[in-house]
Amino acid sequence: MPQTANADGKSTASPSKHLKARVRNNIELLLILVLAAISLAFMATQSFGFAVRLIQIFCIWAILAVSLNLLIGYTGLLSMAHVGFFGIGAYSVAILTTNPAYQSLSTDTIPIIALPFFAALPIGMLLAGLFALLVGSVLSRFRDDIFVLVSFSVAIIAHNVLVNWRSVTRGPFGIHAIARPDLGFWAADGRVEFAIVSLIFLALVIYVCWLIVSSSFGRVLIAIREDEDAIQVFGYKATLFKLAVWVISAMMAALAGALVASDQTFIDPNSFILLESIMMVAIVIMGGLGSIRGSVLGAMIFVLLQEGLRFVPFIPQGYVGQTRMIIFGLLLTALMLFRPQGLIGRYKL
Amino acid sequence: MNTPYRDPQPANILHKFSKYPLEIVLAIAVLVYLIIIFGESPSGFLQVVFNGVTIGSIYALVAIGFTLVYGTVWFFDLTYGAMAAMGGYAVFYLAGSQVQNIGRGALNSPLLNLFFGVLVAAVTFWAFRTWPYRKYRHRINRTLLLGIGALMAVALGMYTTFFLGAERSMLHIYLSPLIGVLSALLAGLIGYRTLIAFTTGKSGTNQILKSTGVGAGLIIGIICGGFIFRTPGANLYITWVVGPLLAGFLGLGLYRWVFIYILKGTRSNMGVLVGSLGLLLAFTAIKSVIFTPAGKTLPDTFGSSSIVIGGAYIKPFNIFVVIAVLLIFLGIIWLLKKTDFGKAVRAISDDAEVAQVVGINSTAIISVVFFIAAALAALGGVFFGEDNAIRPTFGFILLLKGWVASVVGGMGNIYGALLGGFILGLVENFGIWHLDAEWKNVICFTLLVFFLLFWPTGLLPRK
Repeated sequence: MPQTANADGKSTASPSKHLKARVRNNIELLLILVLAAISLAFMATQSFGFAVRLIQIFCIWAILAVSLNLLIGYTGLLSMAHVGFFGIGAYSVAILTTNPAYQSLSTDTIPIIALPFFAALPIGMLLAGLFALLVGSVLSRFRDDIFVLVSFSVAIIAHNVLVNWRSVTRGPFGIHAIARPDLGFWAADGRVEFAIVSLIFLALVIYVCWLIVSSSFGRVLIAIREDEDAIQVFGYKATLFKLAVWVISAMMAALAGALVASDQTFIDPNSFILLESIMMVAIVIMGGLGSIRGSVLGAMIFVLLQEGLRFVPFIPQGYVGQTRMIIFGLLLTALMLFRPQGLIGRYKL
Repeated sequence: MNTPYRDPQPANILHKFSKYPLEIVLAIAVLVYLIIIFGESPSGFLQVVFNGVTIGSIYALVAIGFTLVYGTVWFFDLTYGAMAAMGGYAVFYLAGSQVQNIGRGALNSPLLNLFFGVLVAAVTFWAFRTWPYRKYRHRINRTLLLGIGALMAVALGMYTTFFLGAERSMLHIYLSPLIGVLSALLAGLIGYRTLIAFTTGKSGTNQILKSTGVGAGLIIGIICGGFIFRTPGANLYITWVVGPLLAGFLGLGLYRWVFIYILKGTRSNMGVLVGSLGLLLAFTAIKSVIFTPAGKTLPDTFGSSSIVIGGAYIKPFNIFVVIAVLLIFLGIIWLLKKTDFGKAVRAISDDAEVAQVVGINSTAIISVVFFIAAALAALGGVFFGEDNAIRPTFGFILLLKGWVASVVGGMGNIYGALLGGFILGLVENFGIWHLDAEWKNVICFTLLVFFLLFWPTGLLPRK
């Protein structure tokens, strides 16, 4: 018996080795495909509207995760302030496009500008970029753990300003009647159209990130991550590079915020709390540090888990959010314990 | 022999001050602002001072523990915030039925009780394995020794599970043995130490001293235990001790069985930061599941009615907190400066590798540091919770405030932590004189950024 087993093992050894190597080389693609298959199967069991909704949420989280990965995975800046730029993008678009017809609803008066979405979007991104420049010039002085905790406080300050600056943001009441993307000849009124717009923007963001990462600029960023002092010796101004990638990443986050605002047509400060930032970091780390594919994968897993939890029978509906927090919190710790580079990452934290 | 040449320094005091133009201008501006506020309303000024010192003492307590950990291991442990929240919720869990009419089922989760029972057992066994076992393993049969340790651990774990789930109104009876043993140990230790200090050098007295110390400890323990046994009103105050102790066990366990392995597997300290962030998130969510996210109030204490001093109100409880924090601070200073444990902590803080080379068991020492820090954080949470409503997220805010306080005072400097806590409390409360109270957090973090930009070493830099 043992002999035959040995013979069998030997005869299949070399093909299986090849297969193993091929699987190992393409593990990232395989993982993404398997997950996509699971998501499709999951969607197929639900209604068409729900499937579109899933794609929409996935796009937002993927944009956020990919842009944050530029900071965490490539440059080594563990930023918790991303939600601030996300919120600035959302609120700029909201304030710039809110419809005067709904103004009678409000108790506070906010300025009415009623721009179209595609005019408000660049302004929002620019505002977020300017704010990022301001914050970044302060933050770029710090490193490692001090940087993380200061970025925590940036996120908290941003949320506090959104809640308390009532003459502009209407505080906890939120802003209604935010415009949908409208090109004149084609308007993204329905869910499907909006999901298409989001997918286009996601593709754009991934393309820009890929350009950045594969350029010489990206290589300097990776060098900063590996050894900031060494790259400065070579004559690169590390602070400037960090600031540049910080602003770019913030503008991408603002884009995601604009999409969220326009999609929901209503926002309030509760969507921009520090917890969201922690979730983004969790997605990036889970997917893989220093890998754009990884972030897309992470966003996929995140959305599947988050929406899938609703269908687990023994969790009461009120506790879905808490369960999500518990799972992702423990997941972060487990990743740090067993796989600090994430699922398909190239860089250990 | 060849002393380097030094420029003769002008002894003029003006010259010394002219090196700090920004600081001088700021100090004058703050002084003028304070005088203006005082002119507007003296009693209001005093009230703000009271509020600032009250909350400042809690910030200081949290900052002391935070500095203790950060100054020893030089990485950030964010679960520290969860410990602070745990203190408040432990009091609510054990004594909340006194104030809120909640069904007994909601306040008693068997899973939670079991978790803490297992945790206490594990930590006890670890402590036994670390100290008594290493000391006596050459003299006593090892299997027997380990058996005794395991028995102790299981007994203590079962006891913890039992009293956490016990009838809340009988808590003082069930817990009186624990309080008795704890006070006996403390009194015995202090008595023994004092006697040693007075009779150093006399040979042959050591055995007598030991028995005297143990005897005094036993008597005091019995008195304390008996007193607690007969005082139903002590329920709330017992939980003030039990909560921090449980948090201490959790803090120790997390360091020993989680953070050490994260540190081994990651390249920088950021791994621990992210790992502890995940744990903080999970703990916060677990608290929301068990206690609901709504705000809870803790039972009234001995001094909940305010007294009036100079037209301003302050609660006797708050005066107690300020004094308690100062005493705890003195205790920590004593621990760090006068004991062997403190010497080891300072050695690890200076250079962990060299400390290990000279024979310091750094894992054990750092674990104890985590125990103390977590207990301090939990006590801060209890004091905070007695004054404000507690929510699952308040621990994180308290952690950030403690961190800001330690930056203001000087990172890694324990005196700075105390100073920074009080300064932060005062600045926050004076800052909202012309603003809404909601801007407190913004003021706090602006102060942080300001300090990090201009005085990154804080007011009292670590030498």
